[in-house]
Amino acid sequence: MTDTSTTKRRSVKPSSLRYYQDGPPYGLDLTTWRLRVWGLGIRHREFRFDELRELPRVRESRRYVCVCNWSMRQEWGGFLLSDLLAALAWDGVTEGRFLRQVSVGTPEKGVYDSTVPLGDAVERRALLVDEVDGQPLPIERGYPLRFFDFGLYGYKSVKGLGSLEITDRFELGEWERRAGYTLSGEIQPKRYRFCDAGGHHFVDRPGEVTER
Amino acid sequence: MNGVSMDGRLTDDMCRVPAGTFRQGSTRSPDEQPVREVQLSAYAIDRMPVTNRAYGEFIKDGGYKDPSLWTPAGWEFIRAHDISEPNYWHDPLWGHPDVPVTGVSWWEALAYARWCGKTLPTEAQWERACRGAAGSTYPWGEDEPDPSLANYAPGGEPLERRPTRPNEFPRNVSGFGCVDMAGNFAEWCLDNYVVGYPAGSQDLVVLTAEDDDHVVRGGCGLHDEDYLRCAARDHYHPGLRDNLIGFRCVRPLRTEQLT
Repeated sequence: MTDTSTTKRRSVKPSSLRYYQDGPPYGLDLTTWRLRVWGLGIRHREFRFDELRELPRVRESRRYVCVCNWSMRQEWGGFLLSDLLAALAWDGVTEGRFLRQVSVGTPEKGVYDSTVPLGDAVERRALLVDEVDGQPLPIERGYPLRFFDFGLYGYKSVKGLGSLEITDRFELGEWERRAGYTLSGEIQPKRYRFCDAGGHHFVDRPGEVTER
Repeated sequence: MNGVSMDGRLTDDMCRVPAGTFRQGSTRSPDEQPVREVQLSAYAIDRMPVTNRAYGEFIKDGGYKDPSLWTPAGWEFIRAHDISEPNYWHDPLWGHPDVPVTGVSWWEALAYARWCGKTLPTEAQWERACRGAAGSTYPWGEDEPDPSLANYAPGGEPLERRPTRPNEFPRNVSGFGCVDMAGNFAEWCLDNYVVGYPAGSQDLVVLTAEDDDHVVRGGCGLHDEDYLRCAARDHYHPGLRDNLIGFRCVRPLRTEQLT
């Protein structure tokens, strides 16, 4: 997690890396964009982008895994979900609480949503990400801000965030409704293509891939 | 449709696989081990994956309305999600009559197989049918994959994301005559997935719980060359209905159908 090297083999990135079910959004203006954070056990607030940049910054090298069997370790810049919640006087309750993420989306394709268990996300040091490999997130990667719980497949972490809600309902999100992917979305033991390291590697336990 | 003609002979849309042993697994991945000799009874397997045209007959015949074709969990699944056709049924590309049906859960695949008097292949049956009598690495032999051989994503990058007709790649035929086993769509197998192969060597099938992940074999248009190997394994929840997976069916062979 402290590795500060940037992504190897940058040119070898599958096209599904750029897959964007609900977008990408267009005409997004950072001066008017807001992240709305609301729900159970926190103070409600709308953040400007520059306000979010004032939260404690982290840079972490972590591996994400796509449900279509490839993976890539990259250096992510942003802030911890737990620090965002702390800034909202979070009551600390995780039992029966979930985090629902909703994208900005587009008028034509609507929004993308996904819900994850709040306690697991905090425990796994989930991030709100605005940089990758030292650069602002490209639009197709989730500009201006993306959620990431690295114990889950990518479809559980929403790009181009518009709001975060703490809820007591663990409901199907867009990709689960659309194609039957699992609600939990936990990374499964399987053989994955490691695009950065080269070759295929068998991951022998569920959850975040921390080796390599 | 059921693979047997009026006079009891096997129809041309199925391939005979005689009783015998084959070497299952590989050393390429821990979940493909141990490599071992497996004994299988004779069976017949569909020459091609089930197409949208064939699947349409099941729908027309009321397949989604007949609980006798479904396991209780499968029936509950389609009722709970109000499912009455494949996920991409009305998509002009993925729902074209000549390409394999996709967007079907494991339960829908099994119900179709039951409707036509067959079942889904065990992963051992699938792998043997893919390897052929020679036990090859790929259905076409030992040549490394290239885009002239199958519909897949070289290096994880699809050249063009689309379904292909089962006969589009003339060399993608196994030694037993099965077409399109590598790429295009992975295929549901009967077994649940467990890491590695359990002990035993005769007509094995691994069933843990219907709701657990099931094995798929063969790779697809979105997966890279490694999944085209006959021994490569993948697995998904039985409710997955994405355009990655299709299926073909098997039936046991009676003695008089062996030749």
